[in-house]
Amino acid sequence: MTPSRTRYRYVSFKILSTTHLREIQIHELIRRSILELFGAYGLSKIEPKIMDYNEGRLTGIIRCNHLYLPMLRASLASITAMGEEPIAFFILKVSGTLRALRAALQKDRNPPKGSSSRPLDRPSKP
Amino acid sequence: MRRFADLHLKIPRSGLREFEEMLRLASDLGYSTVAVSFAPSKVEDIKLVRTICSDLGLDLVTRVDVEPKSVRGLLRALRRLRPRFEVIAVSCLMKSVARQAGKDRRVDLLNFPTDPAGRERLHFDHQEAVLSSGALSALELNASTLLRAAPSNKARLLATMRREVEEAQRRGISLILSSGAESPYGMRAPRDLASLLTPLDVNLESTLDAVSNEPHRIVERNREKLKKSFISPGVRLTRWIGSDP
Repeated sequence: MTPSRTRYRYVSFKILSTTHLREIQIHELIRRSILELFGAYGLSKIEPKIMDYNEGRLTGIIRCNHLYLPMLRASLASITAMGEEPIAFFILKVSGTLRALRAALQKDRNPPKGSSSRPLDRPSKP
Repeated sequence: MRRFADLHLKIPRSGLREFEEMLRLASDLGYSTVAVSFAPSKVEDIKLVRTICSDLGLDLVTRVDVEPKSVRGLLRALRRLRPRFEVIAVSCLMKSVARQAGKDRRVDLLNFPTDPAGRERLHFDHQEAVLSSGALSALELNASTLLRAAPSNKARLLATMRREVEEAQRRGISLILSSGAESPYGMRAPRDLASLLTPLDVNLESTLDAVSNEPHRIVERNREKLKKSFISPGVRLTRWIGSDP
């Protein structure tokens, strides 16, 4: 019997930070946080991969194995600083396909008239 | 749909301006209820924070954190503060205080030391769980404790917390997960907060209950108790016969 193919979850996130963060730094932060909480075994299971990252808006999309989404959430929530600078990760949406997630984010960015303001769409500096 | 609550927000030292941002963020993140820890002497802060919360559509719960040095001090504080605050949390820094707080029905939340060494010495153990199961107190875990722990200490802290959670679940004691945030950087979205219980081997439903159903149950129970019509659990004054007293 052939093993079933791996299913993924696509997670959109926003970072609260006053500093400019590059994609490679974000990748390293996430990798380090997973290693700290769940070790190399956890990292190998979660298989995190940054699909999108917007340096200006500090938002992005990460892909992970669907069975290990809670572990990725815990790892992102555990990130507290980049060097001396405090930062925080907030997960905005989770979806099974990249296309659906992008569509949902697009809808959030352009809400229909009369609906309330977009959550977390504020300047990064609190 | 779940309603989420963060039962532990602290007013930052920088003042109410930054705290307003925190409340705004809490509303954006999807919380419907927030409990703010007030100093018993600063009653005027409650009014200000209540105004901000009502503007944002947040339900404000007044909370006080008691850090007694003795059993006598705890009893005195409970007598004084219980009628004034909706949630009372006790920081158990001594075994005798922890035991008294565990069995006292006026205590809502039990907190234990945040440093790993102190927590190993004084944690939510079997005896504490037995006492708490006969009272109404819940075990509160603050995310800030985990987030602030140095990487070298995290494993020790997680091990102690895991034992506490197992003990609480075995005895059917409520588990509350709060942020304990003092700045926007310490806050997390409700599901992200709940996910911090994943390394403690808590199942998904229970993690979500710890940030939704359990906190709301405590708040509703205490609000009922603070009403003038409350006499004792299960007994409520419905109307006066004859002239009002």
